[in-house]
This record gives sequence, structure tokens and C-alpha cells, in this order.
Amino acid sequence: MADIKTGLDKLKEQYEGIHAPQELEGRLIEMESVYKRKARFAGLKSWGERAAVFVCCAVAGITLISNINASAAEAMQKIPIIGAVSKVVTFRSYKSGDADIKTPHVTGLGDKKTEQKLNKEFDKYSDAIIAQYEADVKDMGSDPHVAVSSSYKVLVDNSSQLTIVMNTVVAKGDSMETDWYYNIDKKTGKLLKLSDVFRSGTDYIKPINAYISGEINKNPDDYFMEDDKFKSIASDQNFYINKDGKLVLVFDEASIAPAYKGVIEFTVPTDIISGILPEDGLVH
Amino acid sequence: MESDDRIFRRIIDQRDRFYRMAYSYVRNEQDAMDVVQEVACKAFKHIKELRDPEYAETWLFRVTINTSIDFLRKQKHEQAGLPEHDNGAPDSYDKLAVFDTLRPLDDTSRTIVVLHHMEDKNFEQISCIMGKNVNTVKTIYYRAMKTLKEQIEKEA
Repeated sequence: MADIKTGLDKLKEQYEGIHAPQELEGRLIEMESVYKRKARFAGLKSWGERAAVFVCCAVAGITLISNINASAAEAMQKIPIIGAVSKVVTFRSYKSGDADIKTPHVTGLGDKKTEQKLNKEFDKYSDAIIAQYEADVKDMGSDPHVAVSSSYKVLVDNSSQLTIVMNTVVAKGDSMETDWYYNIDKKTGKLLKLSDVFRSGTDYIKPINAYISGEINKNPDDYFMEDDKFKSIASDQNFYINKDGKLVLVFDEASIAPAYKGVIEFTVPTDIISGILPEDGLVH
Repeated sequence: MESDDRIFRRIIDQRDRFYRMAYSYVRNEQDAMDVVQEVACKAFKHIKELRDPEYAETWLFRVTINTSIDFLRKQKHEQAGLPEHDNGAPDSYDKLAVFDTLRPLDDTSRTIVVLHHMEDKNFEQISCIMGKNVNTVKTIYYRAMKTLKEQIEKEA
């Protein structure tokens, strides 16, 4: 067996002389950092979701509240006049340490109920973020390392539609950005859920899921696969209708793709949903 | 997070070992790297099970082997005719000679020889990695050694 022993030693030497290309180390280090970020984001996400939960509850709840102090809003209305009638103003500005949170209010929408409901939601969104920020600062003691910035932008304001986006960035070791959209149909005065975009009773989920899955499959490396792979849009799916009347679906960071990809958007081609859109709808 | 760091560190530090094992199946640099990357991805999903270092090593070899086999199966299905990847610097003839010598062995026999001689695993450990009975591993090993001896003598 002396020959085979020598032969095996030689084989081992050759085997151990094989090294992975340098590229592999780079790929693995990149994966390590992406997954570490994802793990951290799991914590941050729950942070951001607390605010989102308030929003969803309010949308579903519908009961409305007593007076918003309209005069206060009037008084603070130095700000942009958007469109002929409606105005979006910074109703409240919270600044403390590393937090800068602006709360918008809408006035002159025409429909008082919708206006109040919407403004209440903005308040709740900001209240949730402020409460979480203050709790974090308290927990972290003398050296808090959390920064929060939340502001809004009017994305579309025309005769039929008002769309406002709340942009929130939470930095806590890592940072996470969320965009939450509010779409108001000015004709009906309704704050839209995704189902409101379509004719009542139609199945919009199926064609949209098929479209998104198709887009993901075109570039699978850019998205989560297996257990975390995109399965379906949510019942309270985040979306907006852009200025060209196209439906855009929005996904939070680290929800369907690695966090470094940021907030993910899919613009749905109108022809794949045209059969279930109402004739005079906002999407065309 | 410490556990996460450990498993990734282990894969990164010992990437050559998993790469060689993957290469022994797929025989191509890019594909072997893809396999190792997929193993790292699977490891992340099973992070909690991989806290014991000894189990982690067994698991990583097992998943490297299975992922390589899946890769080949998928490639076979997907089809013939596609050009082979040819990225990166070509390996030198000497290094690849090991696979030429092992060529007469089937995948299972070759893997058992590699794990035993190159990775210094005992039969018990190989049995865990390959999911085979220890006696089966021994039987395959001794048969493989007979074939290998003939091959080595032939090459000499």
C-alpha cells in the first residue's frame, strides 16, 4: 500500500492547492453585510410599523373625531397653496434632539369629513413616531443614538386627485426609510384604499400579483427568494397614483428585497388592469 | 448576532474547503462559487440550528454536496447546448490533476474519499454528512480505494 499512500498524499497536496477565486470572498462578505443589515432591519421595521399600524386602523375605523382646530391650521397657513382650493400646511413641527417630525394638515378639500379624517391620521402617524422616539431616548440613557426625520410632500394635486407622501427615516445603528402614501379622490372626497381604485367586486389582486411576480422573476437576484419571496400584495397595500394616472405599488425597505435596494416601487401597466378599472377612475 | 457572525465568518474563512467540494461536482469556477454562495444563503436561514460548531461543519458539507447535486440536476434539465462559463483565471493543470485521478470514481465514492483523506473526516462523521449508514460508507470507501489504487498505478 506504499504506492497508494504516496499517491493519496500527492492527491491531498493537489487538492489543497485549489483555492477559490478572490471573487468568492467578496461575494460572501457582501452577503454577510446584507444579511446583517436585514437582521437589524427586522428590529427597525417593527419600529416603523407601529406608526403604519395607526394609519391602517384609522383608515379602517372611519369614525370621526371632534373638531380639529381649524383656526390653528388657518393661522399657520403661510405655506404652499396647492391647487385652486386645497392647501397642505405644516400643522405641527416637533424638534427635539435628533428628531425632526413635521405633521401636515389639509384644508379646503371641500369635504370636511375626509379632511378631518385625513388630518387625524397625520396626527396619529406623527404621535406614534414621537412616542417611540421619546421611549427610545429614555431607554438609551445619557447617550441616545437614534435619529428620526419625518416630513411630507405633495406628490399630485390636480382637479381630481390629491396625493401626499409621508417620508420617515429612522436611524438607529442602521437606517430605514419608509414612504407612506395618501391618495384622495377629490370628486368623491374619499381617502382611497387600493380596492377603491378598481370597480367594486373585481379581482385586482390576481393580475397585480402576477405582474409583480413576473417583474421579480426577470431579476431574481435583486429580490428575496424562497421563504421571504414576494407572495401577494397586502390588504392595506401601500400605493399611489402618479401624475400620469399610473398605479404605483410601494414596498418598504427589506420587505421583498434586500434593504440596500431601498423602497421598491412597481408601476403597473394600465393595460393589464384596464378591464377592471372604472370608466372615470383616477388610473388610466 | 454573535452566532450570525460566527457562521458567516466560518464560511468566509473556510471558503476554500467548501469551494473545493462544490468544484469536485460542478467542475467550473463560477458554478462552484454560486454553490458556495447558495450554501451561505441557506446557512443564514438555519442560523439557530448552527450554533454548535461541530454540527455546523457537518451541515455545511452536507448542504454543499446537496446543493451541488441539485445544481447539476437543474443544469441537466435546463438543457444542453449552452456554452460553459469561462470566467476567471484558468486553474493550473497540476491542481486539477486530482480530479482526473479521481475521475473513475462515481460522485458518492469520490466524495467519501475526499472527506476521508482530504478533509480528515472519520467514517462516523462522513456517515452524518452523507446521510448514509457507517457500514455502507466503509464498503463504498474500500471499493473506491481499490479502484483508486489501480488508477494511481496506471498513472504512474
